[in-house]
Amino acid sequence: MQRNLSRRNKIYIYPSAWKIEYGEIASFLSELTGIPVELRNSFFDTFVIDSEKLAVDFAAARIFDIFSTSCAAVHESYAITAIEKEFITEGKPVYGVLYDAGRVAAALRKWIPKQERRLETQHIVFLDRLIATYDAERYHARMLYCSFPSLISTLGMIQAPARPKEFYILRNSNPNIPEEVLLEQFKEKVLTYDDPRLTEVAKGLTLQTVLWTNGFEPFCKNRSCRLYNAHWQEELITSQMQGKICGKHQKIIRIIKDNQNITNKKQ
Amino acid sequence: MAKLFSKASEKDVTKAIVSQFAKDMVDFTEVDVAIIGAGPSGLQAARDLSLSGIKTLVIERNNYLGGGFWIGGFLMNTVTLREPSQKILDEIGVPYTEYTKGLYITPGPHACSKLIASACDAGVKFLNMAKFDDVVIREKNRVGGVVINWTPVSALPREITCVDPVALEAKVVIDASGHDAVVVKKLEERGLIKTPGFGAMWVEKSEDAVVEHTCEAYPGLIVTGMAVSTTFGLPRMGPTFGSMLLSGRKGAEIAKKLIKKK
Ligand SMILES: [Zn+2]
Repeated sequence: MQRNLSRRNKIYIYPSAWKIEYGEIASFLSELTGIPVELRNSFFDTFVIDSEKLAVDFAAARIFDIFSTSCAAVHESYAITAIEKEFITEGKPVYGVLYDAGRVAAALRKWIPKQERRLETQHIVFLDRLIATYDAERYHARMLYCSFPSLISTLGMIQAPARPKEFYILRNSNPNIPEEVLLEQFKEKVLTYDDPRLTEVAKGLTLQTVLWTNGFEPFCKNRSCRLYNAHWQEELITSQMQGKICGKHQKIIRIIKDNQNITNKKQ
Repeated sequence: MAKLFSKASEKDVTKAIVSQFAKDMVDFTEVDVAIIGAGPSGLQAARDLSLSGIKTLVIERNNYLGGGFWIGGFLMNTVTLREPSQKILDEIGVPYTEYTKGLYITPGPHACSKLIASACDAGVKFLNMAKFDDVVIREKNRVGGVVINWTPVSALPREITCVDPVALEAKVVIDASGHDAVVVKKLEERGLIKTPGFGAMWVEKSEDAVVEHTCEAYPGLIVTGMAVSTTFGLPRMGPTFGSMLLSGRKGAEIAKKLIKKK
């Protein structure tokens, strides 16, 4: 287990337009880890960003073929950069599009000012866009992407973990039934777009990014731990709503907290 | 027995048709908005624009208007719409029923005919059996009109197709031509725009995606309906007719702003 942790002076959280109790997440993280957490405006509103340039990067992060890493060869496409710019300036969710998580994180990183682009500072960006990483010959949608900054996809919480098999059987048998109608039928077992449980789920995800930033494995094998890497909606809901952290991870979190207390005293 | 119909000679009938059409055609040479395609998104955009007093012409390659709105999926003429697009049915006076929560059904012929009628009532002008041929490009590479030809010309044998098209000027052009996205494709041919083509992107929320991506895709050119899907490589699965209507409405809003700016 890693001992020589570097000092964390701050975690910044950038909310998205989605209704999640971001304040609750901030207090959850700071209480648990002892690291000061500050809730900022959305990433796009916090920093001085050239939306035109960021739009080009977002356009180039669009995935058009989930079996290929070549992403969009559309950097210079007027249409896509124009609409990306609109999404950035209006802060609206982007539906139906899959983005390469690594490219998105790299695009955002450019706009974090130098004094905050240090290991001591952690940035957690909530994005209303679906992100994916390439793995085992294809892209897979993700809820989070641990990086600098770390990304949490609100749409990913709904769409990335698989739903019960019956959900897909029903959907395939009648493609005209709206997604929302089906989700309503399965709402106990799946997360829906304005689900009040999203806040609890987001807490577990932010904790995963904190572990990663501090050099620990962010995912747990224990199904009832809220660091469990859920692949099914039902698993995600049970692990997060019970709010349990396994013994091993409680210890790790204590190490982070103790280290934080020492550095706080030194300061 | 008294004659049922009033007297009119053959030449009078012909004169009536030709003179009125010629008059309209002269009037069409300059419009505020030219819309390519009279499917649900094009009709909706045209209706909204005309209601705002904007001179709008719809160019349709077919002899009939309405595109795919007459029929739902699998050749079954029940059309489905999702919340909140049924509000447009309220506006144009079409009855519907809620099939499941948030999902509405309506007879295709009723919805389609009323949409066409309401566009006509609003003052939209139509030119059917006319095909988009090319774009008019203005200063700063801005789209400034359309080049059109009669639909049957494209069906002529190659050796007799030297039939020149005509051009119409428009402040704004809307590509509502469905998956073909004919205007966008023409710009792509000229190297002015790039489309990613079809790809299996994320199918969920694809209806939202079509509305969200409805925009000015190139200076002076707005894309609506399924043309949006082609322009942005959005998922093909999913969209029911609601997104076509709401995309058309959004396209009209964007066009209004562009015209004001000019
Ligand atoms: Zn654990």
